[in-house]
Amino acid sequence: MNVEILLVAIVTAIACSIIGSLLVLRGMSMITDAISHTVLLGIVIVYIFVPNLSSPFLIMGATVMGLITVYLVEILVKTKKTSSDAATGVVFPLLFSIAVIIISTIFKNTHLDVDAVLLGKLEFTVFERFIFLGIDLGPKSLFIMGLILVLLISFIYLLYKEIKLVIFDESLALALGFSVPVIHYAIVTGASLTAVAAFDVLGSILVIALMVGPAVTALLFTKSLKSTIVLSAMISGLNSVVGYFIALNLDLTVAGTISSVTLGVFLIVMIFAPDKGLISIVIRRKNQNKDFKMLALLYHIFNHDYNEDQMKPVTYELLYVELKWKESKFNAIINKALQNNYLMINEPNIKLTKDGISYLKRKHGHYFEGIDYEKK
Amino acid sequence: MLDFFNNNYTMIIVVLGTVLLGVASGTIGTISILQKKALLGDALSHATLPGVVLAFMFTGYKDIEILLFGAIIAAFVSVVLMDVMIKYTKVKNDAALALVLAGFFGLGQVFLVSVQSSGNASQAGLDKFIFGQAATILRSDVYLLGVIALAMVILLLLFWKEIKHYVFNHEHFQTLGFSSKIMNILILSLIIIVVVIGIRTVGVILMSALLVAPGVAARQWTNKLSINVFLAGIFGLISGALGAYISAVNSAFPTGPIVVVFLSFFVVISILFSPKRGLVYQLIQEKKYREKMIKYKPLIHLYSGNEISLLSDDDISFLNDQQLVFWNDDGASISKNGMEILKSLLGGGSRR
Repeated sequence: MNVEILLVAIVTAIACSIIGSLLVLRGMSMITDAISHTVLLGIVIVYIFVPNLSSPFLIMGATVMGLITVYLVEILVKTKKTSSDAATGVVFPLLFSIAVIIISTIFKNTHLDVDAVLLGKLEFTVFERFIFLGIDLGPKSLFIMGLILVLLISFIYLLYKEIKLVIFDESLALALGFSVPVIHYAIVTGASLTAVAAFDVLGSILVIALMVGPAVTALLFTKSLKSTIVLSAMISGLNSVVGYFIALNLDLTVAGTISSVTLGVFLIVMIFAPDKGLISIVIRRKNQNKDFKMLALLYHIFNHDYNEDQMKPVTYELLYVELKWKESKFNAIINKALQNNYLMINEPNIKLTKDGISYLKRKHGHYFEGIDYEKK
Repeated sequence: MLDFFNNNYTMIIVVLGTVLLGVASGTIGTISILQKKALLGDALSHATLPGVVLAFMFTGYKDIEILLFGAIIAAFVSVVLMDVMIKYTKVKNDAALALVLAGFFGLGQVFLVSVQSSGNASQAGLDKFIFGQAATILRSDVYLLGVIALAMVILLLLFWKEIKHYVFNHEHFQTLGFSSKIMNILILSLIIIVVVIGIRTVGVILMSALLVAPGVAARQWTNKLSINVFLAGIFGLISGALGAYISAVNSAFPTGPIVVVFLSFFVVISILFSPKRGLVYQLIQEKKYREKMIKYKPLIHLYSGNEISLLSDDDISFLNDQQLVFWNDDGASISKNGMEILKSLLGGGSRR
């Protein structure tokens, strides 16, 4: 076990998840996909002028390219010629293609290869040390990611109110005089910077999982921005620890395992979460369906019994024909109604009991105002 | 001529394959754009990776049919997952896409690396699925692509009316008694098949461009679905041919990216220069409108209820010369000619 790799993974994951929750809430999840690919072009272009892979200019260039990507997509959308997702689907492959073409023609013989960019190399990040005054302070990427994490947290802390407003009610933010574009591009810059720094560690595609996954998972529990950010940071930290140990024990690639765990954790939460989880939703819908069927049955009989226009008692067969339900379902509901004493069989007719009427009244009291059903 | 074909056998196969792919992805991509699912192809292409590697792990064979089968299964699983997420939870469409895309890709990468480190020599080349390599297209692949492209055209022609209804008016489609479930599965299957075939040629990342760009470019030229689909196919064809040719001639240029650059070129040209919808046309129209407004300012002045006596002599003589006004006892009134011009001005010109 290597504590440094684990630390790099945790810090990277938390930084990604924090900016990711803003992006997910703002409906820009697929922008992470675009940015994480196009930063390659930024790196390549800067590399033409500064052929040094550890130069800070690379990060700056790549970050700017992320901004340019979002800007280009917005220009395309503004011309109203395409929808935003189609625009994204046009812009980022183009920029990525240009990068690949440059790499394969100009940088044929350097070790700037597409594989490393797409797949990341978390295990090797610890070999690049941060040496200050001759003292080895730890892996370089840990410091870069740590710095970005601090930047992100202070950005959100300082501009919390503005960010919240822009995310949830852009028009109100405009009306109140906040500059929406400034906040918007600040968020995009944060995303771009994080993607650039993280993509050395994780590879460009797995960055997306770490940005979107924890936020989406957290949103199954939370209802406020603050709790979403905090919870998604916690989830992402947990994911990276779990992912790291799974990868260690099964001898797998760490970055890939962490992003698989991210997806897995989301799926588990999606299925089992209380209230918003799949199981509870399915159970709730089923119960609602049963309730609704019961109400429909009772109302139907009620109308037969008490409606002025068709005061004709209903028989079992007539009921079956009129309701057009499946036989098994029909019988089940009738049996349940009989069990609960809502109905009584008064051969050959079926009638509502007092209990049945009071059940209807309890459910939909307002419907019975003005209907004098007692006299019958 | 025969000599040329013999010498360039590989090149012809590659060009043919890429062309067929361009046609197939252009046509089905248009439909997915109109359904507002432009990025679905992107997510699907990434999600195929675990399927490809697992298929290899289970069978131990690298035969294209087996790998494609794995890819198709993985793509279907990812679609079902996204569907469940969107339907049952509050996860938004794009978030579901992004999560499935990256999560599946991560899973695939885990499998891939563990296969690679297992020392199984026959795995070499599996990662070609990620980046694609048009040069590896074989004659059998071209046959496969040809069959798929043909099947797609036939399916499109057979179900044209239904597809049109489904794309443009979902509710109406259902009220007509068609099953939107079956239609959805049909369209999805076509997208998945094209994506799965395509990634081997252009790679996972650029597959989305192959689906989206032709449709976006074609949309600028027409408002008719049939022409839209047809044009998209043509754009896909031309870009595929040019891209494959260039990279076959100069091996430094990778096929996928070159194809994407050509496609993007078509998009830019179409957005700028298409008649009626194009930006240039609209700018010209707007400029004309502005000039017209300035030219007929006196007429508008009159129309808004102002006295003709407030106008300068030049303006009045302009109005007279153009026969925009006629004079009677009360002063000047706008003539029929003038009213017509006013109507066209009030219509707002050609606004976006």
